[in-house]
Amino acid sequence: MFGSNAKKNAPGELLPGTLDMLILKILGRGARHGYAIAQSIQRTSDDLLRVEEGALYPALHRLELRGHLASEWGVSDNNRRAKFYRVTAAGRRRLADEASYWTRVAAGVARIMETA
Amino acid sequence: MSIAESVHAAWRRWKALWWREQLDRDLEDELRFHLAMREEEYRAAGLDAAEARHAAARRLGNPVALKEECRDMWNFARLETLWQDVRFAGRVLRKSPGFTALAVLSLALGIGVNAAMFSVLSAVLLRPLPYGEADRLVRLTRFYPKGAVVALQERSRTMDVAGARADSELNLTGQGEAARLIGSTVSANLFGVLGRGAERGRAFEAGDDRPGQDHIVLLSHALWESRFGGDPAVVGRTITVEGVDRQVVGVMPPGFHFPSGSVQLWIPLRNDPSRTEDYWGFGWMPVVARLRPGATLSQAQDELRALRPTIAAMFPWPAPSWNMNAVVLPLQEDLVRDVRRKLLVLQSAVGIVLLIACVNVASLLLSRAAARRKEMALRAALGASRGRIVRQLLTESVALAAVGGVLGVALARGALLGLEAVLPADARGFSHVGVDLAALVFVTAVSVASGLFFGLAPALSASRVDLAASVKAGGQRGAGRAGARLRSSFIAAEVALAVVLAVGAGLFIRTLWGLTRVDPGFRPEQTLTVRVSPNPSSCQPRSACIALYDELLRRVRDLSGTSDVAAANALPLSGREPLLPVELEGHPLATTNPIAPLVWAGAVTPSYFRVMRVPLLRGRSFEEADAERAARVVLVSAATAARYWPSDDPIGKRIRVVWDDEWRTVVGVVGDVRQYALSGRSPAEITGAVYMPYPQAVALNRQIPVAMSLLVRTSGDLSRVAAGIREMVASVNPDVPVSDAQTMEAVVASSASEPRSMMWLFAGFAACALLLAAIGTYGVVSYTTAQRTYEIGVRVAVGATRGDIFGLVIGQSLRLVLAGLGAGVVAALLLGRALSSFLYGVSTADPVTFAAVAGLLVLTALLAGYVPGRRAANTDPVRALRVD
Repeated sequence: MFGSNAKKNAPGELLPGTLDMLILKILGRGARHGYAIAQSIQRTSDDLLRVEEGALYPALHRLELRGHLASEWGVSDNNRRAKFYRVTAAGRRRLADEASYWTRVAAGVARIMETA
Repeated sequence: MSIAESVHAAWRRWKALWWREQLDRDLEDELRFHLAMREEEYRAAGLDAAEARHAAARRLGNPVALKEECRDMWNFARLETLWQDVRFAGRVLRKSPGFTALAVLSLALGIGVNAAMFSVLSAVLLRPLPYGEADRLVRLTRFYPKGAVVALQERSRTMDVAGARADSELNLTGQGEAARLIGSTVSANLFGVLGRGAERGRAFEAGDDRPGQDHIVLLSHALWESRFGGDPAVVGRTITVEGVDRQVVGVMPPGFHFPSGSVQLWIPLRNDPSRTEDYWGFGWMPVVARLRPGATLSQAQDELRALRPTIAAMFPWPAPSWNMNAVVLPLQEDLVRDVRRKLLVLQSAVGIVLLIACVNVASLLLSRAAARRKEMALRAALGASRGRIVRQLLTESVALAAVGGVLGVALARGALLGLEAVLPADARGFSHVGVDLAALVFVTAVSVASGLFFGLAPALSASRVDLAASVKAGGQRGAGRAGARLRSSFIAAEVALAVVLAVGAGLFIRTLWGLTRVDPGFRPEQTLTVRVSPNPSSCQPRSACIALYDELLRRVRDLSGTSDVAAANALPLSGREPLLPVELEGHPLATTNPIAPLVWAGAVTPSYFRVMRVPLLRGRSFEEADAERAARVVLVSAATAARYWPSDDPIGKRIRVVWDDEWRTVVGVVGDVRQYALSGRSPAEITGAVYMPYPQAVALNRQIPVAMSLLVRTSGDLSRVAAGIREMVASVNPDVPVSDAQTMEAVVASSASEPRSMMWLFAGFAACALLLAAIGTYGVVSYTTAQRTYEIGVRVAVGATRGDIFGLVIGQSLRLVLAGLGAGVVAALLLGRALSSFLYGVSTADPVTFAAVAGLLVLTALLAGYVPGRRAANTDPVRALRVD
C-alpha cells in the first residue's frame, strides 16, 4: 500500500523489493530464522551480497503482514528459542512474479551494459 | 498490493490490535536471538565478549528505529501521514474559502433541515406510546354508545375494552377564578387497559363507572401543578367540576395523556342502563382495547365482526347497519393515520433538499478536481503514489463533510425550533421533540457517503492523469469534456428538484391567497368573541339560562366601546359543530332505518345576523318576540332551502328535531356561511344549516345550549373590552368562566392554520433548495468561466465586446437552469398530485404558479451568472493569453 514497489526504485542498491525476493527464495528451501536467512544470503552469494540487518527484520514483518510468510516459534540448532519463518502459497506466487521480473530487468541491464 | 494482500494485512493488523504487547515482546526476543547468534559468530572468530557484543550491535544498526519501523507496520494506518493529510486538507480548504464556504453551507443546510424533520417524523410516527406494552393496544374504529362499550367489555374474549370520550370542556369552580378545562369521560378500566397507574393516589378501577360510585375525578400532572400548586394533600379533597362535587382520587404521572395531549382531567362514565337515551343515544365514543395474552389482531377483528350484529340488536331502536365497517387497528397506527401522509409529504420535501445538497457538493468537488488536475499531475510526477493522492482527496472530502456536519447539527436545533413553530398542530406530536441522534447520524452518514462517493470519482481520475499531457496543457485548457457534461447534468438535476419544491410552495401560497379572498358569508372585522360557560345547573330551568344571557348581553351593550352584541352556541370556523338530527317537511324519515339528516343547528340571539353581517335573503329574521313559549320558528341557509325545497317557497315549510313532536316553521332564509372550513368543505354527513332563536333552542342532550359565545362589535381597544367583559361576567356570577377571548378575525385565520403552516414549510424548503441550486449554478459557471479565461482572452483579442462576453457567461448559466427547469416542470406536474388534498382553489397544474417559478428560476440563473459574467467581461486579454 505504501510504496514498496521494486519497479519504481532506481537500480543499483539492494532494495527492499530485492530483499523480499531473496528472502522468499532462501525460505523456499525450508523454514529458518532471521539470523539464518541473513547468513544464507551472504553465503549463497559468495559474500557478494551482504544483508543490511536493519532492513531484514522490517522486511520479514512486512512479508508476514501481507501473508507471504508465516512464522512460528521453535528451537534453534543450539537450543535457543527462535522465530522461524516459512513461505506461504501466496509467497511462492509472489516469488515467481518477482523472479521473472528480475530476470527481465537483469537481462535488459546486461544487454545495455554490453552494447554501451 | 493486491486486494487479497490488503485484506490479509488488515486482518493481521486487527489481530495485532489485541496482541500489541505480545508482538512487542516477540520482536524483542527475535532481535535478542539474532544478536546472540551474531555475537557467538564473532566470538568464534576470535573477538572477546565485549568486542563481539559491540560488533553485533553495530551490524544490526539502530535497534530503536528498527523496532519503530516494525511496530508502525502493524499499526492500522500511519497516523502520522493521516495527520499530515488532515493538516494539508485544512490548508487547501482555507486557501479556497469560496469553495469551502459553498460546500460546507450546502452540507450544513441539507443535514440541518433533514435531521430536524427526521426528528419530528420519528417522534410522531415511530416513538412508542407512553403506555404499558403499547404494541398490544388496539383501537376499534367508529363510535360506540355506553351500552355498546359495556356489551363489548362483557362479551369480548380477545380484548379488554375501554371507552374514552374525546376532549370535552368542563368548568372547574371554587378553586380560584372559575376555569374552563379540557376533560375526558372514560370507562373506569381505561387506565388498566392502557397499563398506567397514578403518580399519587389511584387511577380509576373497575366499578368506578357504576352510578353512585362515579363522583370522582383524576387530575393530570400538569393541572395538579398549575391549579393545585403540586399539593400532595389534593388526593381525597373534593372539587367542583361542572357544578358537581367530585373527590380527587389521584394524579396521573407527567407524560401520560389520553386520548389527546390537552386533557387535564378525567371523570368516569356513568353507566346507567335505565337511562336509555344516555346509555344508547348520544355521546358515542371511540374505543381502545388491549389484546389479551395470546390473542392476535385478526382474532380480535373476527370477534368484533361476530359481536357487532348481536350488539346492534341490543339498541332500543332498530340499528342494523350500526358500525358495519368497524375494524380493529393497532393504536399507534390509528393515532398517526391522518398525520402520516402530511409528515411523509414534508419529509419527501426535505429529502429533496438533502439530495440537492449532496449533488451540490458533488458538482463542486468535480469542478475542483478538474481545476486541480495540474496540481495532481505535478504531485504524481514528483513521486506521490496513486493511493496517496486518492487518500489526500478523500481526506479533503471527509474534512468538508465533518465541518458541514458540525454546522448542520447546530442548524438542526434551530430548524427544529422553526419546525415546531410552524408545523400543523396535529403533526407536532404529544410533547417536545429533541434532535434525534439516530436521525443526525443517518443524515450525516448520507452526506459523508455522498462526499466520499463523489470525491472518489474525481480523485481516481485525477490520480490516473496522463502526466505529460496535463502538465503541458496546464490546468486551464485541458479539462475534460466528459467532466463538464457530468457537472452540467448535476446542476440541471438540482435545478429540477428545486423547481419541484418551488412549485409546491407556489401552490400553497396560491391556496392561502385563495383562502384569504374567500367570502366566508360573514364579516369578521372589529368583532371580539369570548366563550361564556355557566355550569349546567345554572340552566335548570332553561328560563334561568335565557335570563342570564339576556342580562349579560344587556350589560355588554352598556360597556364603553361596544356598539352591538350577539350570542351563539358556536362560531363559524371555530371547530365547534352544534349538530342536530332533523326531519324536514317533504322528506319523511324512512321507517326501516331512520338515519335522520344532520344539520348545523345554530342557537342565536336576534342580533346575531346583524353583528355577523349575514344577509337575510327572504322572509324575516328573529325578533325579541320569538321567546321561549312563542310559536317555534327557524331560519334556514340558502343552500339548505335549495337542497330540500328546490322548487317551493321555503317560507312556511316546517322542520322538527327527530325527538320533538312539535314542528318549527321556517320564517326566513339567510346567506350561506362557511361553518366548517374556509374552503367551503363540510363533512359529507351534514346536509344543511338551520338557526333557532336561543330561547327555543335545544342541543343534542335535549337541553338548552349552556355554553355560548358572545360576539361584540367594538371600535375600542380589544383587550380592554375583553377585560371589561370578564369583570362584568364575574360580577354577575363568579362561577361562570370566561375563556377564549379573541377577535373573530383570529378565529378565521386559525381555521386556515394548516395550509398556512404547510405554506411556510414548503416556502422554507423551497428557499433552501433555490439557494442551493443558485450556489451550484454559480459554482459551476464561475469554474467553467475560469477555465475559459484563455478562450475569452482570444475572443476579446479578436474584437468581442464586454457585452458579448457577459452574454456568453450569462447564456451558459441560463442554459444550465433552463434544462433543469424543463425536467422540473414535468416532475412537478407528476408529483403535484400528492399535494392535491392539501390545496384549495388551485389546480396542481396552475399556470400562474408554474410561470412564477419559471421566472424565479430565470432570475436565479441571471444572479448566479452575474458575478462570473462581470469578471469575464473585465478579462484583460493580454494577461489571459499569458497565463501559461
